[in-house]
Amino acid sequence: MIQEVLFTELFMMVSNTRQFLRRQIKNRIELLLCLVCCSLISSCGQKDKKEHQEPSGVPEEKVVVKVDIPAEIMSSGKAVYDQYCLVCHQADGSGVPGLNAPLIESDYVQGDKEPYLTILLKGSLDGPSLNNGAYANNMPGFVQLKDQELADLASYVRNSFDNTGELITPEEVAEIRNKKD
Amino acid sequence: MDMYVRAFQNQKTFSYLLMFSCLAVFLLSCKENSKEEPAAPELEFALNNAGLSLPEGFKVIIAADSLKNPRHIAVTDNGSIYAKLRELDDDNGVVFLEDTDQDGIMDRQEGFGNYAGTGIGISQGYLYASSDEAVMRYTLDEDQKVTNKTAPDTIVSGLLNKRQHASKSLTLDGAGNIYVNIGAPSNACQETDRTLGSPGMMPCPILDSAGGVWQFRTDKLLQTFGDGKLYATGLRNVIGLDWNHTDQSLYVTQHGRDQLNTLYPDLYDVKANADLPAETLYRVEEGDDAGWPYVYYDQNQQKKILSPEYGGDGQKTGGEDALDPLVAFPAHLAPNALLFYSGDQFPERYKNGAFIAFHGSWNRAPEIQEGYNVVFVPFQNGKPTGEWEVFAEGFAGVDEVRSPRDAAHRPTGLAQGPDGSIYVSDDSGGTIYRIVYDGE
Repeated sequence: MIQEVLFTELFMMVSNTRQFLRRQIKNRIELLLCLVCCSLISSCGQKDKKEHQEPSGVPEEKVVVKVDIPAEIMSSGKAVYDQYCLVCHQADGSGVPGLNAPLIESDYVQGDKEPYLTILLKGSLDGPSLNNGAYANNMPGFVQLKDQELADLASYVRNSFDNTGELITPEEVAEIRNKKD
Repeated sequence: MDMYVRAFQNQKTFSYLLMFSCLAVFLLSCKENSKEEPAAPELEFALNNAGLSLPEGFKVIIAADSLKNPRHIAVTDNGSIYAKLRELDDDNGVVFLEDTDQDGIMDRQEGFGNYAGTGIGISQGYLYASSDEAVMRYTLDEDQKVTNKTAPDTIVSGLLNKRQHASKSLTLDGAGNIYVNIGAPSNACQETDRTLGSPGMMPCPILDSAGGVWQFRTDKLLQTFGDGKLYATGLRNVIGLDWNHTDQSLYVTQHGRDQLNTLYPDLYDVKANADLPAETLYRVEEGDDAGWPYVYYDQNQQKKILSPEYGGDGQKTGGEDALDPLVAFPAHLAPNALLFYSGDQFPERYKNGAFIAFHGSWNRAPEIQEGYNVVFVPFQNGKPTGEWEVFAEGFAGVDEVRSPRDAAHRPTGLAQGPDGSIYVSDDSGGTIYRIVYDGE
């Protein structure tokens, strides 16, 4: 019985919308209550949708060059990244939760050149000082790469994955390389 | 219809009717999903199996969600769950979950244990839980509730923790012994870890204190590392391990080494790196050696191959005395839990077989990542009787995982419930799934 009334009611609500609104506008309290109920119904549906929603597809690799880095440097830097860094830090710089630090919008990458170049050259077997060492894997040093390769790599990473940072030169890499511990 | 027209003509009756009907629609529409609903005698199965794909007849219940990085789990005789957390949640590293209305969804939770970690297990009236350095023991009452939450016994402390491979996963044999993984804080025992051109150390000094499974007594408190017995060595990192009561033996799953291509680009290309080495399942007896770091298992050649850090070229074999795996899985899938199924709920073919929870790869990059599933291996008398097969998949929630960050859920722990359901924990999305067989 209740269901019958309910469905008839809903049917008439839809087919007589204009009439319904005209009548109901006179009684704002009922309209308000009705709207609250409707919003509860829709929010209930949304919660359901959210719980079962699948995350959107693979994020695009973002290369936002705000600093003017020559294309050939970006390209050779990417080649170094793909060969030595990508496997741990991933193609989109997102890292691996708990294991390898992400490089996206990274303070470390965009910050002072010296600590950044130091970790690229010498690694950090005690764990990068990121998030209190929240990343378990060791960061190897890449001292065997040439100054130019490391400079291109650093310039590339500083201008990829939503990072921005000025160009790094081979001379700056050499300076950190030759610095005594 | 007449009744409706009369009501419609009467403004006041109409208004009440309208409010009532809106409320009724609201209640009806929310009933299916609300967890605050009064006790339902039936199990509250998830819509569309919560996005998981399972064999015919299996259904899913979201037993718990929004937990803080649950690692391994243990289920009590009355279906409550103890979960070990990788990160403290309000200073608690263990969470106890109860289902008071028996609808399958845990509706009460309580935290204790102020240390994060991975390992947890119930045996002989005690709950065991590990940090990355120690194993604690709690006394259970007749309902298997912990009686000494703030004052656990310390079984062993001072175990090696150098961040990498630090999870102290554990299992118990029910005969007075606990088996604890002490993972190697290294990829391949190079002089400098994961570094181009750094040679492998010979012999590998890490094996003295890690890279194996150690056995401790459950009836002795305050043990140190030195009180333990090296039960099996040459195991890089064993997060999944289980004592199989059908043949009274320890079985372990090893996380194989990473980065063959980045460290040895002349010997291995990107595809070879994504493909090698196998993730391995071993049956281990006391004194066994699985060969890490000197060899890895190549599932294509079905051979133990000498590691490039030790003079290997991808072809030369080695480790003649080392164990062969019982099962070799594709590379880098990260087997994080192993469970031998002893229940009666699932169809007969599952009985005594092994379930393995794969956390999912990262080291296959830039190739598409794999794993993020639960697989099954049929077993009889301690031997696999068929090929491994995917049992549950769809945890990641995306068609392709390029980077682990894309995955919504990552299987990490497995446990069997008193009714023969199995539970899968996910340390990324914080969910505990219960898988129930509901077929004919």
